[in-house]
Amino acid sequence: MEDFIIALGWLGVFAPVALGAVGSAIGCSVAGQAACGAMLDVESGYGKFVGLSAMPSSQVIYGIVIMFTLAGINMTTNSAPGLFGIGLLTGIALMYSAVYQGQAVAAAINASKNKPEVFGLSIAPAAIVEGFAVFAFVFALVMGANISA
Amino acid sequence: MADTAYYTLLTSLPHIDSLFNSRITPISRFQLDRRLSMLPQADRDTLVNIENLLHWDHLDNDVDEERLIRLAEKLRQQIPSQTLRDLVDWRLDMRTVVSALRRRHQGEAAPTQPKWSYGSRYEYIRSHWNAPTLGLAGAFPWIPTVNECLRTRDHVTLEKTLLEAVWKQLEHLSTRHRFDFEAVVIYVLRWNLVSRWTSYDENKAESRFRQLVDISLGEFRDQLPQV
Repeated sequence: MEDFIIALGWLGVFAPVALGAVGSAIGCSVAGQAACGAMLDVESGYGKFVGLSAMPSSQVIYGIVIMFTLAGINMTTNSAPGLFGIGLLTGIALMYSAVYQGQAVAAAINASKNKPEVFGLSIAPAAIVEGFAVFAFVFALVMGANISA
Repeated sequence: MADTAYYTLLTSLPHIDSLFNSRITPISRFQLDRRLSMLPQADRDTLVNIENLLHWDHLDNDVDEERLIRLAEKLRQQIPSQTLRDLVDWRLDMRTVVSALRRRHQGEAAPTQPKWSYGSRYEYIRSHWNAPTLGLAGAFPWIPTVNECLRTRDHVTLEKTLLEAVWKQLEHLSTRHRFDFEAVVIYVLRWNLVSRWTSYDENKAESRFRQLVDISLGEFRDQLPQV
């Protein structure tokens, strides 16, 4: 039973990276496809579309930082359940935020392609989604610190 | 995540601003077809079916109505999406309503055949033949305008009213579909409306009218006195 609890703890440590990577892959793929489509329709400004389509990659970076923070905590049967809960739930939050951010970026690319003057404003929904990923990231670090204490 | 296949296609299509202010289509049919080639084969087949159902360009002058109704039923059943089936039903119902209003305006009685048209409301229309709005003023609020246009023979306003009704319906649907196959179909149908509106030409219309008169007169054409 103890081994199982420890295994769950390690699952929690790696979950933010794994789930964050899944979310970022889907989000960047969706946004990248939209950017490729937009490039067929416009004559210039390709760079900003490609740059924007990389926005959902931040979630996997947050996941890596969380993984290193959680991995630094001594893994015992007391700390493992906490690491499992924090890691898994943060990973799920990062994954979904990346997927939906990709869709928001695709919509922003579509809108700004037709109306270049709304480019800045059209990124706002994707930036708000990014804010939720940052919440999950910051409070995962705070809660992780509580476990180690 | 099957929907992701449509992101590239839909963002590659230029925005269609408005119907009546358009002077040309935002993309040529050749370019549109090239972009639509990104669709999987099954989607392309469905799109062709829907276009065949909703457009009359490919029909001959002698249309076998019974065959057309059977074909519409068959093609409709092959559409996999409920949203698209509803859209097709709405357009076919619209055709049935306009046909009923025109027939009634010419003094014709209600059809005797139970399956006299296509869509989903033909039986209801037949049973409400004598009601001024066929009992469908709620579903089709433009019926009184069409009645008035038929009475005053204002065919331009009639055509604009019908095009505007279809445009609004497609616009309403497009708010619920952004990056899926339904959005592709809605785009193509809107493109077709713009294409139809921008291709209206007085000279071509006159030429087509003379052609139809010649077909109607047939062998009697030569017996007419020359003007």
